[in-house]
Amino acid sequence: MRASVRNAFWVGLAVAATAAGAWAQASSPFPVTLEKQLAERAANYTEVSLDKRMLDFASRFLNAKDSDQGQAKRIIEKLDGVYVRSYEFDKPGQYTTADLESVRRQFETPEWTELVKTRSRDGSDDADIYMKLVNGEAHGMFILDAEAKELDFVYISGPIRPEDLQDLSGNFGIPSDAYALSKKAKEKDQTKADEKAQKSADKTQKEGQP
Amino acid sequence: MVEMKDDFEPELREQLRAREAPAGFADRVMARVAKRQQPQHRGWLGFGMPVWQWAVATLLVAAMVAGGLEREREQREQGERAREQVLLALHITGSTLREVQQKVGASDAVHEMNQKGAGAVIPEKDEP
Amino acid sequence: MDHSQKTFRDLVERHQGRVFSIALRIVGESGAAEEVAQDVFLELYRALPGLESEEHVTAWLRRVACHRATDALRRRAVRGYAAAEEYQDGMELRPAVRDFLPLMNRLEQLLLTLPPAQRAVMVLRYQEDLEPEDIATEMKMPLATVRSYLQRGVKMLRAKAQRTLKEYSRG
Repeated sequence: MRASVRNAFWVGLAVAATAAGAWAQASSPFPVTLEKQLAERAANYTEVSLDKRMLDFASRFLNAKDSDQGQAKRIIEKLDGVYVRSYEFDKPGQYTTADLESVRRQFETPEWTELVKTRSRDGSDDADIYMKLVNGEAHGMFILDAEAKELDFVYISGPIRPEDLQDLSGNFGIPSDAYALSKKAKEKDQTKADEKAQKSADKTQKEGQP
Repeated sequence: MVEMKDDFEPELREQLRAREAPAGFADRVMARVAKRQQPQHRGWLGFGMPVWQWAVATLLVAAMVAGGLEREREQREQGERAREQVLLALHITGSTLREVQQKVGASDAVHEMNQKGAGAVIPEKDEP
Repeated sequence: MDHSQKTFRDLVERHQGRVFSIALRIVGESGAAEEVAQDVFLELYRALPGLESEEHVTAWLRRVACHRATDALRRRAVRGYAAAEEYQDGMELRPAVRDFLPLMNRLEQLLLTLPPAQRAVMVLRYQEDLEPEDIATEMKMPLATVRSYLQRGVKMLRAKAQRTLKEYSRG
């Protein structure tokens, strides 16, 4: 009884969180089955899915003269989507390392660079940050933060300006190190590109030898 | 709804109990009230609103009935909900990033301690 | 409600601690907090004829104090006292600011490292003991946002408080 009442409440909140009903046909990058399972097991959960259309619509109602809203407006104006999933559980063991891997797989493609990776034995204290680089510029970010009784996923699609993340320090709590993260991503990407070029050059040299 | 128990919360409540206002606060408020007090004009409808405010209110009601404000109101509500979602999403993004940053910092500190314990020399920041 | 000066003064004396504390914990500076608190009571004086009961007054004061305090903070940001400037790495208060807050206990100081809207939600929960649903109503905020602010706010403050304790015991 308790579970069904609780779930009915949170279903209602998730519907509200997709904002204005039919508008939010956003495609979540996270496995849908897993989302449903996590929501079932969670004591509280928050799901926010904002595709390009929703972001543009919301932007019209953000007051550029307000410091918080003005910064939000600047951040989202070029983004293609923002997807957030946040789960709180009343006991540990409500997700597995396999669950986390199924999410990470979406971001383990060549265009994504892994910046942060911390691992625990049972997955209950993991953290990941991936950044997508297009022509050397940050074009997406994925954050995973796993703890014993909490699980957070954040996926931002679209151009992310380091100065936007920097400026938000103190308002949205995004640390100034976020600027450094973007720089680090570019450096890693450059290293990857250099290594690839070197391998290719070595291979050409070997093939050229008698 | 399951309440998340937290040992820290009783301490928060204790430390954030309302404080006393500065000495003489009430006197200073009453002094400002006395300075700015103006006679209250009671409109003919007897509800304490000036007549001109009632005229404006009446006109507004007429405009709402005549115009298509209902649709605009709905769209405004939808927009405000969307705005709140954006602010919530950015708030969660910021705090998640910060938590990951702290985790990485803690992980580096443990690694450093383990290295030191194993006898390895970790150069200070300014050293080569 | 009765609008006499005597009654109003009684109201001020009953609620001055609450209003001043809300303002102080959001604005973070005693002088500015008193200014905000005085303005709130002046506004109450005008609004009093429309308020029906003591409970109504209390709810009104909470709501208006939060809004006026966050407004005051934003005005300070626009004038160049950007909130971000008061914080350094890891969202700790700069020593110069910290030293001017001798009257604030450690948790009050740590509260200032949270964004203003989140700070207001934390104050309404832990100073005023409001339930999340009531905070959502008073602040006109979605319940999901209130819950997220509370959950993350407690977590952040707990972590910072524990870190501070370790620094003190090591030092």
